[in-house]
Amino acid sequence: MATIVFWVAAVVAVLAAAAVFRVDSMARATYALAVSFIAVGVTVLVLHLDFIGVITILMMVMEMAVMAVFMVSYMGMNPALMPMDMTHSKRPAAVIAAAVFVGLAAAALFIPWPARAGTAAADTTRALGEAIMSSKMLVMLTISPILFATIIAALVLANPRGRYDRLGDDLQNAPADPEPGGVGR
Amino acid sequence: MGVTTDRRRPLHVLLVEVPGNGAARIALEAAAASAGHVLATHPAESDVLLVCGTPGPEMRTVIDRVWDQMPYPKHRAALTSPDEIGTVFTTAQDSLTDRRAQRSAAREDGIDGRHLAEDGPDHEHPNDEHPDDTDESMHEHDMPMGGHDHMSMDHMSMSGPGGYPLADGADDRDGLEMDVLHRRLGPILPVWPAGVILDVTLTGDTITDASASVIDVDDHKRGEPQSGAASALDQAAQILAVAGWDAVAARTLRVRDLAVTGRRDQARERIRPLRRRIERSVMLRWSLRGLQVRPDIDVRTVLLTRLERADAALNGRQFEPEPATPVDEIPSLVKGRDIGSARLIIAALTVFPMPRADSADEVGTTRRHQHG
Amino acid sequence: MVDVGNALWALVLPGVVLVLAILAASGNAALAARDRGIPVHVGVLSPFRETGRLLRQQRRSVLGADSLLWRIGGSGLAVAAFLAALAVPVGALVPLDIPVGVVWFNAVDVSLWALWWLLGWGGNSVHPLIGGYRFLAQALAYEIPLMFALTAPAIGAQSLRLTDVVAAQQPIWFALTMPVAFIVYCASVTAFSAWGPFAFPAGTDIAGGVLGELSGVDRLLVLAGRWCLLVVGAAFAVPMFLGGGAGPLLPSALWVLLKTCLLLAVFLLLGHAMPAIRPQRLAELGWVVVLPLVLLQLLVTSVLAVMGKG
Repeated sequence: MATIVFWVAAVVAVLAAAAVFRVDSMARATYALAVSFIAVGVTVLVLHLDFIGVITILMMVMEMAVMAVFMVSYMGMNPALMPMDMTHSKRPAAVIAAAVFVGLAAAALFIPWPARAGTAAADTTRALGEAIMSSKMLVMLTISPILFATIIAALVLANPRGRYDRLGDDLQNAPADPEPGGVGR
Repeated sequence: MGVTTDRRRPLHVLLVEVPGNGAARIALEAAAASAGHVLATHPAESDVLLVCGTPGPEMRTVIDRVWDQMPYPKHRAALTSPDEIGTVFTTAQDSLTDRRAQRSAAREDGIDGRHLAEDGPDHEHPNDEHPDDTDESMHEHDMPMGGHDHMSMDHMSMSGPGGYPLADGADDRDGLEMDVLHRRLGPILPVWPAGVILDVTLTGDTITDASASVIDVDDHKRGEPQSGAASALDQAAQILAVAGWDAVAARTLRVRDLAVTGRRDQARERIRPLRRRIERSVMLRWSLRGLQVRPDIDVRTVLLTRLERADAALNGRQFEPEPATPVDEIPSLVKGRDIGSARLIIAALTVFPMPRADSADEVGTTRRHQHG
Repeated sequence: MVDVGNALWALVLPGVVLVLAILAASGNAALAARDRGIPVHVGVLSPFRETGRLLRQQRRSVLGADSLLWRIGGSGLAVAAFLAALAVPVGALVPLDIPVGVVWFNAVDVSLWALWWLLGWGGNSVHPLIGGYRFLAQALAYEIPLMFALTAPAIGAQSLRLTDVVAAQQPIWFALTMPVAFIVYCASVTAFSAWGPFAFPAGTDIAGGVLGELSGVDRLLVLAGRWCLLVVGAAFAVPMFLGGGAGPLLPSALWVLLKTCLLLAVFLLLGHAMPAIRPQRLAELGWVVVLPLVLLQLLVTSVLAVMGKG
């Protein structure tokens, strides 16, 4: 059963990824990519890594939806259906892709993977987390809010309209926004 | 009119008001509500197209286009006199339940099963499904838009969805590049002043350019500006509907219907609590912040004034009628606003149907004495 | 034995969700009818009549529309609701008893971003497009607070599995110990259903918004999907915040149903009467006010969880 699900998910992932470059529209390419990632997430679920599988699906769908927001910001609302060619430098790309595929396939087939010693842990996600991060868990927990704050700070700094544009040179005026924000800052 | 019996199903009615027929439209809405019918916001969801009044030539074209966009089963009727109100809904229901006639009409239209919208050279109705790009390429040929002419040829050769070229891009107020779309808002749009046409240029959903006109401007029956409780409540309900407060808009319409059908004492009872509710609503005040209609008047003030006017009219007091805004002033009020804010601002105006120059004349006379 | 029960329940579940959705739609229509002055029984019957009318109506298409993506957006709403409902424990039946039930719900509500946008964009028409982007604007405001609000019960129960979250609420419900998370969750449910105070994606000022160009079966699917999302959002709050099937006298499956219906009634009564909030007002509120409050809530919950466990 798990083998069947794995193979179906694998085939869907590869076909959807190929579809990204064959379809005629940015929106379709985006969602073909989302389907491909969902299939990869299903593959991870088959390995009983539930948390990682579901989080992969969640993050990838969210990213594709956010890409729709970015499509507005940087391309106009242009994901229309029209024949388009998204590939560049086809020959070097094909060579590199083929080389990487051969390399990864060779690694997957010829590396002597160790056999399982003992039985699988009850909570494979926890076991995986401890194997990867073990003593550094607290560091990782502390870093994530710092990353969050860094992203927000970067956005604030990148905003072309700063406090002085909004509030005047001595920061005394009422905010001059085209649309007043909800809190009245 | 009584309540619908079980055999009679509620209809979704698309009500088209020909300018000058406000009172008839309000009476028709009251009759529809008491019979349990619903007013539609889009031709796609409507069963019945009811035209209030006698449309002029341009209006007739627009109405035909809207009719084409409605899916079957559908029915169309015009209301030219107030006595027809009683029968128009039953006629519509009989026509809609006649499946054979509807099917053969659908087949005659040349479309079987699914309804596919066709395109036309100019778009007069905003709720249609034509790609906006056609307008844009057409306009680029007609209007002297500097700098765009050389682009138009390239775009004509690219084929986009449905065979039309894609939209151009331009920077909006935040500096992001958005598609430029040319749309015509009106004259048939839910909660919209009758007969007004607003041609807008949208970057994203922000209006960067607008021009307003009135349909069939020569053909007008010069309707007097509405006064009285019913029209004040109608206008208040329009602001509430566009602001998204459907529950209270429905209550306002209920008071309006009571006033129209002669049950003024019930209307008088209900209007005070309604006014208090709207005045006290913090969420409405917060949601409507930042929408100035005039330098010192914002949309919420207009709403409260309209309710005060209705209260005064119901209780026999005098009250100043709302100053009318000429159609030409609308573009300056909506430029730079997003489409939702623009709709709210327009709902807070009483649009005088004539352009300013004609205001002192009767239809058809020359304008000699306007000069000098 | 339990697996057969789970499989049967998984088959019956879409029907149950649809029945509750129709009841919710009837309730909403009854409230609307009372406001408008129409007799209430006309309102109560209106979802049935509307279903019949829409099934009889022709479908429509738009020139240049991306029909594949458009219809996926429309029909996906109900499918997403059913997927989320699979994880809700009803008595002993949990069709999808994965160890990460909370994250599963989160994944489904994230997919709604994609679905509502596809519904708005797919139709090649300006008003639905604006409606779709309004939904994204709202979603940017509520999604992060929602994600943190979903984490709070997981911290309280020290587990992401829904049955553990239910078990951890035995003495006292999470709705009482983490009220901010509960309120944010409830608001987010109405927001991802684009209903009530967050109904501007389908607003009258843009001629129906995302519902604009739809007719016939397509329209029915979207309207039904919207109500199913509200129902499933209420249903999911039961194991997360309202103690699951706990309660005297009645079997726990019935308690889950009862609590779902009560929460739906609260949504209808409160949300029906609130004005809709324009999306541009929400972004600042969501990030500057709501998000810090939710983070504070998480801090309090975490401290309590650490102290409680030793």
